[in-house]
Amino acid sequence: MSAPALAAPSAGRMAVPEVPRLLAGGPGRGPGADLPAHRTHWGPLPVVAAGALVRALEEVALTGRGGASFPLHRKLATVATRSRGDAVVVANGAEGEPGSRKDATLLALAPHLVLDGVQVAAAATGAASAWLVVERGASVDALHAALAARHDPVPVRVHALPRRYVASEETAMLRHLAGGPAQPTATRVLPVVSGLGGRPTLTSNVETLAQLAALAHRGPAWFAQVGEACEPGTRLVTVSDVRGSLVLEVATDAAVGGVLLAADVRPEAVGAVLVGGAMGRWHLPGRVAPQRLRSSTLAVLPPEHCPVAETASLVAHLARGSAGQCGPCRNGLPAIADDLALLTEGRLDAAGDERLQARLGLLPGRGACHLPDGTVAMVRSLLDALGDHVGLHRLGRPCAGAAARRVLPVPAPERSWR
Amino acid sequence: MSGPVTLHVDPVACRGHGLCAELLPELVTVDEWGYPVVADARVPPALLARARRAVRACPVLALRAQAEVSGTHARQGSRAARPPETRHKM
Repeated sequence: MSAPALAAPSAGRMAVPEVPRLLAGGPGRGPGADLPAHRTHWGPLPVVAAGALVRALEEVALTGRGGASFPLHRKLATVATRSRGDAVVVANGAEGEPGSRKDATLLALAPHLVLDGVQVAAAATGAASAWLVVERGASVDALHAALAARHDPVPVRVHALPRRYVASEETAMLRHLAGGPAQPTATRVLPVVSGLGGRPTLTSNVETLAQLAALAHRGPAWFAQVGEACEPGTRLVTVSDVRGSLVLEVATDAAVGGVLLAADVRPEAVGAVLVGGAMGRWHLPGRVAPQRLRSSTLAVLPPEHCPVAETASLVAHLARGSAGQCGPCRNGLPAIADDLALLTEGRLDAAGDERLQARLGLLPGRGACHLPDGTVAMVRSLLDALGDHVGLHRLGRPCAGAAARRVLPVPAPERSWR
Repeated sequence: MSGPVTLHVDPVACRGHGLCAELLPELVTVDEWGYPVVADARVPPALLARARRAVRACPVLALRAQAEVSGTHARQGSRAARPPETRHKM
């Protein structure tokens, strides 16, 4: 028999402790951007052979922190095998995701850990060059200063991408690095086989590379001291609510509810939670609180806010951020954004609702990238998880929350793809 | 060596001319904007000749038919490794 519900401690409702590893260097409490302080904390640049690194990565099951959660050891092994001393490492620090600040925060607080990760990856894959990619408008002076302070074996150049949602998608980013527009390609050749300039290319999120550096510095046993057994360690997460956003580093076994408490979000202030950003899923707080956090962003909507209006704003942003290369995205995303705008106002009639359902059914799997798929999944989660609220909109009831300020601000995208 | 033939639309190249849906309505329909929707990519042997004609008829060469080779579905990153395509010969 289980304990009475009232007496049972709820894992989702207890604040989880922050585990400052990557972010051990916060302002005034660690190495930060200062190289000697970084070396004192972490030690000299580690030298790890490709085989040992791949084994260590596999042991701790480090997955990509840029959204795709792909196992890093497989990417790294492929590039290492294919490289003839000509591989390229690309560190992706451009987070086009509304409500994500973790990569910018990491680059500001621990640039040298990211750069250690780039060097470790470059040495293991036999790379001759590397890039650190950020969004245009990001402060690159500090990154140039950090690079200038180091004497790295493999040269790293800083590159800025246009501020559009899909610009940091892997193939779009590589296209822009090669001098083209930052638009995804429908390529069938994997970048790890033939990427930048036809060379085997390891693209990885900056947090993933910082985790790689921590692993190389300290070893798998240290790495696995926190977090869940099958995927130990920490993850960075941005928690956004009406007050703004906060970046935390928590163990991988942290529950969503605990992370929200750690971010000082009170349970009664949570009406709905968007886990994973614009390509994520909406949840009711009671359902999601006990679940393990597997994502890098949590957006908290207060009960008096409107998740339909928030979703409509996000989909309109995605439609504007699309490259518009593929028919399903070019036509479908603005159409769904319009449907959601009508739904927000309580003006989507039964025929319109049917049309929206048909559109959601036809878009996935038909684009060069996964933008339509992810958008549809996010919208569906709104209709499924928050059906009670959506139902009021379907009935044409006015929703006072629709006028509230958005929790996830969506800046106007740049016009240029160059 | 060659297995079943599958249809594939290059979404960037496609301009929604819609000839594929006219020539091969059993496998291709169009969405409300005239862009193709391939319900089941596998081409039954009886439709192979018509599928070939649809591939040749696409004004922008966006429709492809390719022979599935066993063991080519290993995934890397977010993209599926796909077998080499044949645009004109099948």
